[in-house]
Amino acid sequence: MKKIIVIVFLLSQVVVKAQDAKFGKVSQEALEEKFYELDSTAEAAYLMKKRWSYFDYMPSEGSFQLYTEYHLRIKIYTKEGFDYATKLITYYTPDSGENESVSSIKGYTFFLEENNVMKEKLSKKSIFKEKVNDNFSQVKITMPKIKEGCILDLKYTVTSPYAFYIDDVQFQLGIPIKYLETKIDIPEFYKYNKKRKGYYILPVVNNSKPSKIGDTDYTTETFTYKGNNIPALKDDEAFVYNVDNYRGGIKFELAQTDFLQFQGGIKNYNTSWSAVAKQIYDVSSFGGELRKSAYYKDEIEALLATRNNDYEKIAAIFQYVKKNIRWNKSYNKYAQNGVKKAFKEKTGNVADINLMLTSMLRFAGLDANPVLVSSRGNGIPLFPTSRGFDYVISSVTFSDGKYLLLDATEFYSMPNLLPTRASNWKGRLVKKGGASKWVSLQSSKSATEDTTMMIKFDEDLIAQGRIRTKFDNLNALRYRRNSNHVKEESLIANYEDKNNIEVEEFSVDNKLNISKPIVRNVKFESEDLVEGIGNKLYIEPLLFFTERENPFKLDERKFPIEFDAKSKEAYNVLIDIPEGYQIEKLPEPLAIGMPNNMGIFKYQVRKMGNKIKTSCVLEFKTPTIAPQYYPYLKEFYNQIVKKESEKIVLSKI
Amino acid sequence: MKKYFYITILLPLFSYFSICAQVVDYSSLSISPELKENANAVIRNQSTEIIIEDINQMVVRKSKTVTVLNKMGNADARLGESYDNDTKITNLSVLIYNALGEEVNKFKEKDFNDVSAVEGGTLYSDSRVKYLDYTPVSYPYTVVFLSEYKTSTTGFIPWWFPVNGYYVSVENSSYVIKNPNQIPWRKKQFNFEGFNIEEQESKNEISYVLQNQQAYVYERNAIHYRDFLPKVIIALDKFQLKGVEGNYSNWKEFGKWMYEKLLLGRNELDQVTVAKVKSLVERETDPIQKAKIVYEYMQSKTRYISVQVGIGGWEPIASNRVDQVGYGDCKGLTNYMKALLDAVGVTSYYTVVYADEKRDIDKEFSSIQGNHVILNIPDSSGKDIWLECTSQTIPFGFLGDFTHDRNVLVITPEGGVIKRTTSYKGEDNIQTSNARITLLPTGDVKAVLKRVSKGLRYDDKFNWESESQEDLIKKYKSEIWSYNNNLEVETLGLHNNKEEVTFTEKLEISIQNYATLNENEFLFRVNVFNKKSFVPKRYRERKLPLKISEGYKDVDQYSFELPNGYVLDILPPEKKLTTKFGSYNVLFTKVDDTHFNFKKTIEIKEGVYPKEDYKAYRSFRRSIAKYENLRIAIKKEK
Repeated sequence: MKKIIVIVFLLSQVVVKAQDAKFGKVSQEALEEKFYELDSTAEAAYLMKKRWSYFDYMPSEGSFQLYTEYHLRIKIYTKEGFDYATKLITYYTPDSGENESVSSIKGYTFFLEENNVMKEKLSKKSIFKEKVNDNFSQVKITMPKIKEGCILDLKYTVTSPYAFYIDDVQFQLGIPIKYLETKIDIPEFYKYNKKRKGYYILPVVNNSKPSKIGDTDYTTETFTYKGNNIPALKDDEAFVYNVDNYRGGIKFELAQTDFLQFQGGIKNYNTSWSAVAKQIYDVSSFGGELRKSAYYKDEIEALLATRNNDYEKIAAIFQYVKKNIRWNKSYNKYAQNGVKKAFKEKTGNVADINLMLTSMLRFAGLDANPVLVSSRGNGIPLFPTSRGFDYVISSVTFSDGKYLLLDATEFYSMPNLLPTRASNWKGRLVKKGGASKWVSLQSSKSATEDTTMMIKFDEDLIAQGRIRTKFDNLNALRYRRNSNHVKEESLIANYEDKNNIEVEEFSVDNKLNISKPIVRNVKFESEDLVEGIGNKLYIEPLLFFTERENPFKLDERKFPIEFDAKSKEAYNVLIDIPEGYQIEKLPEPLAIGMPNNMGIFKYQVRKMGNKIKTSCVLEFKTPTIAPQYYPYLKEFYNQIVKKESEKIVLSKI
Repeated sequence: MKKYFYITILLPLFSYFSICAQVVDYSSLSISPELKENANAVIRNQSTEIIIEDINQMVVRKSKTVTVLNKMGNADARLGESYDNDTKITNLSVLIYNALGEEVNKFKEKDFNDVSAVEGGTLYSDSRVKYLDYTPVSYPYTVVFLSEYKTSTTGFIPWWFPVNGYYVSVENSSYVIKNPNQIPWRKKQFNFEGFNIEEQESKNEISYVLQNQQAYVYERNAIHYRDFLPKVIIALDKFQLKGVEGNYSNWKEFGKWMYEKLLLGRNELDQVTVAKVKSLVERETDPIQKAKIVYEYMQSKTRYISVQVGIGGWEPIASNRVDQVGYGDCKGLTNYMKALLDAVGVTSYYTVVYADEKRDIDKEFSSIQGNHVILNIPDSSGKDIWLECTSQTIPFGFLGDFTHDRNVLVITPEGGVIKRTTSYKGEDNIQTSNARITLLPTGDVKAVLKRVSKGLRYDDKFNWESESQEDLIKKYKSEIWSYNNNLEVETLGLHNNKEEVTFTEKLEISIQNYATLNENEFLFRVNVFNKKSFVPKRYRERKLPLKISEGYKDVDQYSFELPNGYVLDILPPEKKLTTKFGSYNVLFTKVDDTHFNFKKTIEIKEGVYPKEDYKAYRSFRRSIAKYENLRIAIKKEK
């Protein structure tokens, strides 16, 4: 950011801070409250959560600083809520560059003693500062005299020289908020995009007021959000990546700075998705890294010498990068080591690897481009913002307009089969020069698991059987990633444990041949598959593959159910009817579906000669299910569980 | 150019050889097949050299060459060293070699990350760690990690623990400790038998070498690896700990030192607080009753927050400070409780213990041990009372599995004494369930259940009291009775009796579609509420002893009422299993044509058994697991 040059004599601006009469004072009634009225399960609640962010001009620096004042008042109802008596504030303190700071920490704990309101001050000894790593520090505060029913009042200010970066406004948290007030004051020199996130919104009130730096008049715009009785959104459900994405709030993203009044310039940031993409492209650790090629020239030339068509070239280069450069588990859209160093040291972050891959593909004459992605944990990019992207993959477009997506950070990935972390909704393909467009990241292929089992019983009703399971697409990728490095001994043990059988033979094909599905063959024995009551035998048609529990037990769901991909699971089980027995009863077939064809279940048990054949297919045609369909999903599974638990009944001849 | 290359590569190698005097081949190809078996990593050569320069000066030099065979082996090549205010790291470097033994990467101290080493549960600590965040580019690879640090704390000398767990084999591991000034010292060796260890000892030097040790495979329900792998601990009789000098050669002296240097004078209390607790107990004469009142007062006033700075890692925060802020760590809270008891004239002692995983303070070898502190109230008849001071909810005198049944060090003003904490075994840990179960013609079930838990079973549950109804119902549905689909909790009442240390649950439950119906039968699982389906994993060849770490007893008595229109046929005969690991008994009794009773008793005894017994234990548990699924059929009235 350009520093602002102000020639005129400056009076340091006096910020009139509204005196908050309430800090350090709470009512007896509030202390007497035993539980949160609107949600008796809350372990603690914010009685008040106030935030005020404002810009202040620093004449000595010639630039604006961003101040954010917080006033938090928390009521603790139960011992589980004691964690809220400790506050960690993380702030940016890079080894090189300007540091953020935390100051003006003040706090009180209020509690009742013999019906009197008592108050204990937060002492300096209960405040700790710690350098966490090269980039961040933490202030750790723990409040005194905490007991059930107490209230704490805490105030602090975060000062940041990175004025353009306004922290997200959070409306909703893991505990309820009784009163929330957030005020953001922005001088006219800065323009931001604001976009809401999650399922809880608060209205904004917009005001402006005249302000002055020296002789320069300008307008400060104030955005105020106020809310009462905001419910908690807890993080305790399955099939969700990051519950924060569904908690209400507002994101601020810098769109423009205009310092013409200070002889500075106008600079545009992200006003549209194409501007965001262009801006990212123009950063040297993105676009700059794409242009380098000298470092790999010899290797790739040699590699390409024997490849005749585009597909062979792509396969060779993709395999080369996956094999030679290891991902250091770090996400980013910008290169960390730089492609050259990553190439030399054979390790790098997401951008190091996939920008290198893109550059190599271009070098081979392909129409290769990076694709900006918001990883699963980062949520869906809602509005033009560079922070909306935290990941980058690569793509190749063919002359017919079809394209392939590639992510070389995952060793077991394939073209158009991305690891779950990257396959989130859609991504932004960025062309040379920075022009861009959306491409879908969702795989057209379902994650499949296809099982065939044959089983027969000896005279003691001990079962002998063979199982062949085929995993394809995302399921194959997951299998390879989770099991390829595990010793066979452990895989067998886990399989035995999970299914309560004894494995006699076990083999897995295509472990490294990633263009083919994983095929697992198992030969087993088990004493526990038949239940004898009187003269009858009871057998579950799917044996140990029976879905016995409904994974969805809660009555209500507040946010979407996120599966990793579309999926299809099929079972074909052939059971030899034990000698001396005949069929008395077989379960009836069932075929059901979810609304809009989102899920399908088909189930059939038939007699075929002296065998019983069960076929079962469970398919989900969408990777996410919206919360309004949750009751259907729960009922869908109820029916599956009920149907699969129906037994084959055999009787003695 | 070429010459230059030689010099740079020769220098580090030369200095390295001078330390361990052994030629190491960095290629992973030369590892013998036996050492690769079951190994994720192979310790090619590890050496620890400790020089006690004075009672307040120690230098530790470590060199570790590890070949990592696969992803899981990275944990055995931890590239980090801890330090704090009185420990200074003087050397750190890492070299990486590929499978062929060619050097591929090199890191110096500046490449290491320097971060705070705060463990979970600690708010602040001055201990820090420098570690290298290395991403392996291919397997196998070999790393050579050199480190050296100087410290003024000699109270804790690094142990020798050459085989650090499972799936790691050792080609060569050595340990040498030099004591040129002959400061009196003591050592203790553990589990040397059966290991290829050479030892040498003189007045001022002790050394050990272990060679060619194959990797162990982890087995479930086994003793801890610490109990069968070799280990040496060494302690100085005169030492310094975070600037405090010490002198001891047995627990009595150690305790006295600890009392005088770390505890004495830290138990003062504000007169207001003293008057307050005195007034609380003024009507009591029995010291135990007094202690109980004071304990509950302490629990209501405090919470656990851990801050470890300097000697604070060993010394409690003063009691008047805890009194003022209302928080402390285990040391601070225990010392505070002791001060409160002193104020009302009840004797108690600060006690050092290994918490969580069951582990004894070594009876014979005095050194700095333990990771937690509790309070002991002595009793002349041997029924000592033990107080856990970091929990706000645990009953007076109850320890639970966190610290029960182990040797602890009790610090008295006269010195240290080893005592054993209360234990909870077998029948102490009883859960009794009584249920009235009504079967309905639709196949649904209605039940009224009362369940009472004691001992460690109480420990598992007493915290439920503070959970919300919503979370509890979720727990019953998704965890405890997850094997019953469609289970609904209609009413729920919990009672935590802290006096008797019993936890009672009363529930009304309904389960839809519990039974399977066909034309003339009604089929259902009789064991509705306590299915023990645990079966120990099968091992083709068990290598480690069997350990059952927690004994318990469950008694379930259900009375069933049959649905309208059905009559009782024959009930299954009594089932009885008795083994050295415990017993299992299921008994059905017919009351009349529409009622019968079910009684199940299972008792499991804790203990360690030879590996040969594993099969028998597994078969015992298998038989139980199978019988726990028993269904019976009742017939439609004709």
